[in-house]
Amino acid sequence: MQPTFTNPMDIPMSELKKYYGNGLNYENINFSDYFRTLSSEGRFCALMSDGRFAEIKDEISRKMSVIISDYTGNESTSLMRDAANDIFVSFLYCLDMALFTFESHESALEYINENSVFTVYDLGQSVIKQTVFECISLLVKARRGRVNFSDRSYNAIFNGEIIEYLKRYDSKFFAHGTKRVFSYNTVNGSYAYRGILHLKKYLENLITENTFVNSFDEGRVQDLLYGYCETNGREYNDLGRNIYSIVLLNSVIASLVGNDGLEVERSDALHISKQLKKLPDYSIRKVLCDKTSEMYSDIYSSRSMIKLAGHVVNAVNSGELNKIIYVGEIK
Amino acid sequence: MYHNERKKYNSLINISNVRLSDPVALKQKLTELNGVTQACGLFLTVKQINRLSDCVQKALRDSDRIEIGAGILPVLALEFSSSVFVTPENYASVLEEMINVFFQVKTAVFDRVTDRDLIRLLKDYYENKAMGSVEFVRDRDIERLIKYIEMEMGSGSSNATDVYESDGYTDERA
Repeated sequence: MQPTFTNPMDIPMSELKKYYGNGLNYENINFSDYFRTLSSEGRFCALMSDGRFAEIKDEISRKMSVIISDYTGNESTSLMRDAANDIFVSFLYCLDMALFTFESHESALEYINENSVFTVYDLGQSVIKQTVFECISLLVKARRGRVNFSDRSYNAIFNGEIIEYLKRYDSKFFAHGTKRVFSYNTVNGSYAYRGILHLKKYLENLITENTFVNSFDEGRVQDLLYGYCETNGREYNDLGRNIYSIVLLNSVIASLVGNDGLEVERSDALHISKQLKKLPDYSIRKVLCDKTSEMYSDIYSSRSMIKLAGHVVNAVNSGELNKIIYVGEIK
Repeated sequence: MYHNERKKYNSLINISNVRLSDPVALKQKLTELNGVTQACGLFLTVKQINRLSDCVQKALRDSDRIEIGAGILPVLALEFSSSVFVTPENYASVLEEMINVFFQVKTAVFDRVTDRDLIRLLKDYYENKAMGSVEFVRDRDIERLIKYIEMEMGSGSSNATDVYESDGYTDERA
């Protein structure tokens, strides 16, 4: 039975739910534009009243005016549309960050139904601050587990790049950041994330990669990487590839040829190349992915191999396996 | 059909339809300002206030800017009301032209000048160089004005007078 409230703004969320059920279509909710898509979907499904939606728009206008005044230092009543747009995206990012703390879309929607945009924004700001602290502790952890190798790009991220990023991070006017590209990339990118979440994901990936590499003997890993540099004519401080990818691929291919550890000798490389060449590309990928899953139970390794398998296929087809792994004796 | 409907719902929260400027507050402030400027014989009618409010919106669109609250026009009006070149006959039209110039210059100098400084510089230029001709400022002097402001704001402030007095600046009405 339809609720009997005369003013739609008076209808509590619980009543709307009772009448309409829980009808959010999750496919219409986008995590990279969470607040807008969630509130739009809520309204579309009548889980948010038109009155509340209008209130939200009004609250956004008022809060944006305050933020813009802060941005101009109260010295200008106007600003360029591009700048306003950036501030608006940053503002929405902050709202998104607040809503990410809820376990379900429904509870997030309920929160924005029952709290003003000002409250959601404040929560978002404190969540961002918390995430910055998390990033600092992740950085400390990543630094502690840093791989002992002379690669310039890899070391640069620990020697200032990340700290510099954190110093310049502006949670008020540019919280969404641009997808900052550090000089060293992890195998699994964090490009689906924006702002501080991008950095957090990047650091988590980095820690996973460091932990993996550190599970091998440090000296063997160093020799492997030096060997890779030598066979590919690279300086020791300019590896030009992700450290983890070389170690992972070496270990998987070594296992395919029946070796323990990381070593893939020339004869082994020739043999495995011949064997793999006989297979169609998708089968090569499958062999590599299956082997990785068999060797390593973590999801990161499996995901990484899905990405790296394409490189292996190309390397096998062009007879240049040594471009992606170190082929030869590890001294 | 369904997707169009969804698109419509999503576009409802958008920077373009977030209401930042407040035309009602602007009109209110201009009306209040009449009480101050009336002493100099300057007065804006309701029709003129409405027209000025529309002009601000158009000027903002033209210069790709967004304004908050009542905006800058009341401040600009108060400053220009003390100019000797502003008369009851041209008061509204001067404001109309100067608000356009204000936003154009503000965008051209990438917001490096504050509202108050820009208004001070505009008035100075209008009175001392354009000799009260808004047409001169708008049609001929806007580039020169931008250079002047950039120098005034930048390191080369000592050269600001050069632009003022240089090359070819002559008061053509003289």
